[in-house]
Amino acid sequence: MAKIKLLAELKGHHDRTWQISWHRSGQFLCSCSGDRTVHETKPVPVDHPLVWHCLDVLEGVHKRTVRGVAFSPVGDDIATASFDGTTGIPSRPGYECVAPLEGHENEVKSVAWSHTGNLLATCSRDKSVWIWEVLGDGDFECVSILQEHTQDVKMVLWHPTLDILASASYDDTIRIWRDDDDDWYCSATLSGHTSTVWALDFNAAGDHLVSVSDDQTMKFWRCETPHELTSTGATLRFRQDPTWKCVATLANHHTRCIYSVSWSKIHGLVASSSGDNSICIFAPDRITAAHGISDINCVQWNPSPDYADILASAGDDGVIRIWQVTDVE
Amino acid sequence: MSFSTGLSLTDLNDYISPSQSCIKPVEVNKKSDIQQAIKIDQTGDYYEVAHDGTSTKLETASISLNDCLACSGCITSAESVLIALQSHKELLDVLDKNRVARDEGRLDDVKVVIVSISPQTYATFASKYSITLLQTAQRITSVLKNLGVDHIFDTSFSRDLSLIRIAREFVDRYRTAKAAPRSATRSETSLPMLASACPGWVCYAEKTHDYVLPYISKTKSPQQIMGSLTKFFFADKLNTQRQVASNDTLSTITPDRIYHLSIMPCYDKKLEASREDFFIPDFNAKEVDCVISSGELDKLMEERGIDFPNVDEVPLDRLFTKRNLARAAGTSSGGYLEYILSYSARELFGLDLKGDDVERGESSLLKIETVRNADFREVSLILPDGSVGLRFAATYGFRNIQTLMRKIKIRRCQYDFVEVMACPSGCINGGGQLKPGLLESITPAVNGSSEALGNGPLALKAMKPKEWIQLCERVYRTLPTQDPMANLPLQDVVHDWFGEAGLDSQKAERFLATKYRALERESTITAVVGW
Repeated sequence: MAKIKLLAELKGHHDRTWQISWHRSGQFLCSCSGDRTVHETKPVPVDHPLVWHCLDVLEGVHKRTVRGVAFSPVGDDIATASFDGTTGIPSRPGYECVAPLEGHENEVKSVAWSHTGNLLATCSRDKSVWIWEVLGDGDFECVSILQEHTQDVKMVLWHPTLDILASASYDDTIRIWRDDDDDWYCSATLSGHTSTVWALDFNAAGDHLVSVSDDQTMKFWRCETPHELTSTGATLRFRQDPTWKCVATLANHHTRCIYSVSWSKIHGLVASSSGDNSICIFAPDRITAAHGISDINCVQWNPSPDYADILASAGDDGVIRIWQVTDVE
Repeated sequence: MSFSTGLSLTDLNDYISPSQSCIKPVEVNKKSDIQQAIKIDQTGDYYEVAHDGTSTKLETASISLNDCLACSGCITSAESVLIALQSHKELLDVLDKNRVARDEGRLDDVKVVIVSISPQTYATFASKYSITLLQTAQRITSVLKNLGVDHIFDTSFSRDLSLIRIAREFVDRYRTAKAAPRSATRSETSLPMLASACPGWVCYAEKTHDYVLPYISKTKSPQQIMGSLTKFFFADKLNTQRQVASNDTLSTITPDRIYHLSIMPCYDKKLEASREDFFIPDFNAKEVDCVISSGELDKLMEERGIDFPNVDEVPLDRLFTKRNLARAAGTSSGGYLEYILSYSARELFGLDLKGDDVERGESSLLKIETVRNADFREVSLILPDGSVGLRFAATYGFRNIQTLMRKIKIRRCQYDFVEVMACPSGCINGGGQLKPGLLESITPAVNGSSEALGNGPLALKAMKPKEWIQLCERVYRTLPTQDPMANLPLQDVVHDWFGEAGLDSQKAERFLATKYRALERESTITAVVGW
């Protein structure tokens, strides 16, 4: 049994907190909320995450709920996804104010940077997934608009080391998107969940995916690369894409919709958060009533090896909680 | 609901697709206030059940093209919704009615039936059957004449007029913009000027990007210029002829007595034809009565059991048809970039640059770059001193439109003119074109196209959408090119129609120019939900 300790509570937001994104240093995080703001928060001192200070409140960028937030894996840029239909690239001290990215017809649900920070993906209730190339200095070029999902797209996430995108949708599927000579296409559709797929995460190697769903299950998927083709030129006309096979389904851990999942790139533990008010940690462990009676919208492992035992969560109570998980088998 | 073939392509997924939120309220014909129940039978039909037990079948609500234009729910045509109103069946109905009216001696009820055909339509059929574009046009002419169509026109003819007018508009705009001090407001003299021929793009701009409307050229599309030509100029010609021939025993031909159908690569052309700007209120008529796609023409022929490979080849109509179906230099999307660049090189800088040079990229006056992908090209005019005279671009497909919109929004757009087309690869790949999936039964290509097809039927069957589009584009470009100003019959039309003042006349403005208006997006949800 793991030892789980609540270290701190961050109570700056005035409405439910939706998502957390750690800075790659693991030394601070930002969170977004129904109060239309993004908070950047840091523990003081850095090595003892017991007392946290809000460094910065980004407000006025969005007219409605900020549903998603993401730190770039390089640099200090953040991107925000809002129900106002835009994707914010909030201005920061020393940066020129950059106009938000427009184009989605309605609520943007999630935003994600690729591993190099050169690509930005967004998804929306309008069923589409957009990919922008980040050219720097506020210039963005629209690279692709992918419209294969048949329902609301809940989350987008990039592969940890490659330009491969995954998206999760209300149409119960996960789609994997790849690039072929500057044209993006859906290379795989992962079916198996029987209700909305709310979130997903890759492992550190990027050869496994975990997904969580309204069907109260968590599924693990393994990437299988097809055998090399040795036959004649004619067959080379057809693309051979890796397939994703469901290798495990975990049920009965949560009793309501699972909203978020985080797969630590450092120690490989998976944390999930749910509408049943609990956080599960696999090797399975549970923090019950982690946010009292509130739904828990997001869990995120700290990405830094120095703070790998730190887990953050965001709930409908508007609070961000910081946990320490130790003594795991 | 069945989707058009245009939406079934998976490799080219850059179309503007139908929106989920059709918000057009449908009129409810409520007959009584007595509370009733609704029943659904096994076939899915709805019935209204009154208290006395009687049930009435309820009509399915239908949405017209005009509804779609007025609604901000969809960002463009939503091909799946709106095809019912304008289909090839409508043409057959009109032809049947003509036959009955003739049999019954009601000659005043007989409509003059005109079909205008786009060159992209010829290109898609020529590619499918491995015949030349001229043969294709001759066979389609034969098919339509046998069905009872009176005249067949070529929209390359009206496109020349569209090109000439837009080039003049650009030069005027450029001079005004350069003479005026830099201004923060976006006006009808701001640069870049954006092409107006693609109705998918225009509709999208009106519904989602009102700030770009002032940049869009006022020149009507080839389809709508052909509409004015047939309904006004040609009607007048017919009346003159008839007076001469019959001493005025027949009544005058008015716009409502001409039925004008166009065959287009694109479903959004149906929407364009339905715009209120192209309605002729005095006669309760439209410039273009009906638009069908290349695919719908294919379907019509299939339904009529027409064996296209064995159709006779008959001479083309000569009126409003270009000799040898000559095209303007440039891509199959019309050659707007090429013509405007060559025209303004001459008008603004006194440089001799031909449209063909721009198409081939063979001139020291040019710098051509592919910006991101094949659908985003930059073409600059380089002056003899090495400086950049004009910066043009062609942006096709939804993603490149987004990049362009952002450049304009944040005022970092360096272009003077942009040829904007909603479809990836442009008009040759319009949603209404024939698709490679339909080609499996066709024998290997023989002329010109065999290189693209590799060897034999296997390669053909395995043809990817992209290869098919490239083939169609190449086939389109086998047409000879002609400078729009060298279209002498067109010069005669301009003189005849607009008089001495020609394109400077108010009459030309009336028939060749149009306008755009922003559609407010409904934001009721925000107000109610508040998050």
